[in-house]
Amino acid sequence: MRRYRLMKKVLEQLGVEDERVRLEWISSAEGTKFAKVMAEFTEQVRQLGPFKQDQKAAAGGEG
Amino acid sequence: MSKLKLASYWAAACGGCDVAILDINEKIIDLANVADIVFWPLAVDFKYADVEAYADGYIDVCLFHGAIRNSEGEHIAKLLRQKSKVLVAFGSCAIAGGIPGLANFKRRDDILDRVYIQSDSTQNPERVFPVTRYQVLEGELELPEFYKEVKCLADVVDVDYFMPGCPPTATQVWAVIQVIASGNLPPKGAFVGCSNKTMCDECEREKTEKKVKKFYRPHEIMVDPKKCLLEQGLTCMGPVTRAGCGNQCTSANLPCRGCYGPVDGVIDQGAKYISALASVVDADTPEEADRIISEIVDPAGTFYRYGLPGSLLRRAK
Repeated sequence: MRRYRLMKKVLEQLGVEDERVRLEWISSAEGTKFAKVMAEFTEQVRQLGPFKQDQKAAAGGEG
Repeated sequence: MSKLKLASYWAAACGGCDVAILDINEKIIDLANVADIVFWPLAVDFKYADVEAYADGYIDVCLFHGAIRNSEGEHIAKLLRQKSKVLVAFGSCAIAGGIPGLANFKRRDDILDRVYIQSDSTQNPERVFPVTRYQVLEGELELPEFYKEVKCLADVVDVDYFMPGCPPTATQVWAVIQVIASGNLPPKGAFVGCSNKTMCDECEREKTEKKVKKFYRPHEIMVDPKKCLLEQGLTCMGPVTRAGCGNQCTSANLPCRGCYGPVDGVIDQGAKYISALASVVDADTPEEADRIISEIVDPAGTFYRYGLPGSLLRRAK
């Protein structure tokens, strides 16, 4: 939990939106909850789309 | 055996790595006995054209400092790769971006705007920005292209060895030069002039249980010279940083800043430190954890101080 909070703070500075990272506890007996959370989160990240910066420029030559 | 042909170059660097080479002091005379310097902008007068005229592989060893910030840095990196048998990424900037790599927290346009418009000493009402080509009566002038982001040397060319440090210490520089001169080269891709232990492994400060209720910046507390700095609430990067510098900062009561980068097998030094640092937070409630963590000033800039371009995210998104 402490790691997660610190990581969120670092990611915020690095411009990674809050909605891209989520922490949930789901037990092996909670299949329905697992499916629901995964579906929700996938949809949420899809809505956000790729990062706004041209992040791939790094490895290429164009700079 | 004929003398080694040695080259040294700076791309986006402060010049400290060159000074580190000069810091071998009187041994520079010994260096001259084993090596001929064939290119070193700081110290000797060779031009790019001289390097271009060398045969491929003419240079035995090139110590390359600095990150790749613009097209000139990349061009010379490629040229020196072609002309050198062994290319060493020398110092934090060449390895992982170093201090110039902190520019990856900003976008290119924001940097140019800050430098050419907003800075207090600038008057630029016509909003003149540098361009890569400009026609004047005498002909065309050319400037290197300022890239969107800072890159590491290994992003643009194949690198043989990595020598960490900001800068690498003079004793390590000399040790490495001796190894190179002896011809006993380590396997390709090795980190040289350093250890594969962490700073903490070599630190002689007294270590007890790590429980931190409040983090400080170095100027905010009187440091106990014997106790572990992390235990005193300083964000010391020792747990995740490669040893080899001789513990210079921690000996001076300053927390390790992480310039030697991570040890072998760790991909992302900052992420590793998030894990290490969060585990010493001594909180009884989530609210208290939040309070303690929120007091860490500029965590991303601190954890990725020397390696943002070499990290997993490479830059702020």
